[in-house]
Amino acid sequence: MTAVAELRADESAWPMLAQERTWGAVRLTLTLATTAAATWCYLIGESVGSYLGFVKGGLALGAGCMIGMLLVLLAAGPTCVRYGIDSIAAAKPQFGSRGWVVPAALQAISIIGWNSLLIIFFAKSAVQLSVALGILDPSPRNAAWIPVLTVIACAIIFTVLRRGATGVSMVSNILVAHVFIGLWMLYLLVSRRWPELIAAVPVNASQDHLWNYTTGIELGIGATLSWWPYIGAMIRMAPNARTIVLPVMLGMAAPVPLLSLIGLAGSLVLKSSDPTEWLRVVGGPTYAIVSLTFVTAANFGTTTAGIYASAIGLRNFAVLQKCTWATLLLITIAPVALVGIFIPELFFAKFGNFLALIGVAFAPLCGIQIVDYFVLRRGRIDIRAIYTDAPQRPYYFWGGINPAAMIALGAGCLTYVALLNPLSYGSAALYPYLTASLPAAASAAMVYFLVSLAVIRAHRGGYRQSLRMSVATSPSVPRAT
Amino acid sequence: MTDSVDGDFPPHTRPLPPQLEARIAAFENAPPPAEFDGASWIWMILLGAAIPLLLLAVGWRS
Repeated sequence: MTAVAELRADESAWPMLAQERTWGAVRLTLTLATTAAATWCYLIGESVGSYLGFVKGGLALGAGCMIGMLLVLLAAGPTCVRYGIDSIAAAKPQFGSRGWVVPAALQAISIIGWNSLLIIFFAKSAVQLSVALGILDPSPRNAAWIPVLTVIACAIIFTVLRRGATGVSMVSNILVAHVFIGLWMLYLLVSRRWPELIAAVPVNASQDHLWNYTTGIELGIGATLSWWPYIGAMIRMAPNARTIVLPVMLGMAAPVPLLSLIGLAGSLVLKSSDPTEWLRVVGGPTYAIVSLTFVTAANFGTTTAGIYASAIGLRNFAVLQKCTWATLLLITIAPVALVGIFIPELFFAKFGNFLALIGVAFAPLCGIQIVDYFVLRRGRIDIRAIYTDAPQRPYYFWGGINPAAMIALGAGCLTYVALLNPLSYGSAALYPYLTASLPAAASAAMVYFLVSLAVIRAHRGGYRQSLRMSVATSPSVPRAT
Repeated sequence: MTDSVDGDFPPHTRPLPPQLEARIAAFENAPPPAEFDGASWIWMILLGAAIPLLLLAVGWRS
């Protein structure tokens, strides 16, 4: 066995070799579906249900999710799957051999945020399940169990992830069943409450129908843009680019709008997006127990994948490269546990703002990566430069930072905020026609391209080298030897 | 690689760990990894653009 083969590649941020990338389309689809389908879907559905009815909201959300997923796939997908690296390593050609800490910070904030939410959701569901099963008496004091259950959940996730990516896949194979349970819950609500569902009026709908519709699309785009930090760690386990397209577009993008319909329907008819509350009303205590069991389990799959992706992202920090895998997992899980233990209710209440803030950051990031990979570098990445922080290496730019990416990221964020205030949802006149995420991505891409022309002129960034490689490997030109 | 060897180099000139070096060399010595093929692009355009536009048109009329 060679030295390369002895390394646990799925516990490092180093490129994975072809023989280590063993996830086929089915395994990747199951893992991505389990990652995507969690109780956050109910909250996303509830957000859309504030502005749109069931049919319109479902279609707007579905379209938004597919568009957002395409952006994420085009941004992180090509580099991650070609070289077997995670999303953070794939951002180094754009942000620089030191500037990558910016996307790394975004990843950490996003994954800690999402996973904290899911852990809190898990703990609440577990308490409700215990009440439904008669283990606990109904009491306001049951909230005291939430920190305890948070710690238990974190301990289980830690144990599962000791096996690296295999642990993620193992959990996904078991928990993918909850996607079908979710669809069954949706069927129950739709079949029993259809007239009310169609007649329901969204509580926060604007008088501008186009604004409501665009906001439904925007929420869908924002929700799937938040997969950017996760996607690299998953698709790098697949052998080639062709294998990932359908799993990502169907396995990761499709379950979100489908399961969000549960939250959308619940919020419209029963004024609650939480199926663990309304299934008792709709189907009686047995249905409530079944759904609670699966809702409780569902969050494990997503949180497990999230913690894994975050741990791999942290491996890019030189100081953490030599940590044991267990230590790295503890560092990753600790913030999630702390939020779940100390501020669960505060965090839960601010979810909508959190979702909007994610859209602000990840849309420009996707725009930058897309234009860098497809336009400026013509698909040619220097894999050695990704792992080398030296002035003579191409991704060092100036002091390890690419000013083009920083300026473009700022321009994209400003564009987003100018069109839609993510906290108040106050918007500009153009927002209903454009959304906020798409112009943010487009403006960041455009600014990045223009500033990069100066970077190329300064012989930084390895762009000339990429173009030479592109020409040398073009089918019409013999390969350089 | 030991800590003492790492300590002999400034951070930006430190040699890569041997296992990482071997992985990078494996990529550098092989043909460029395959990109998205034609079928992949068709699926991406269909699922990421055409169908969403269709959904939006249907939803707006509903």
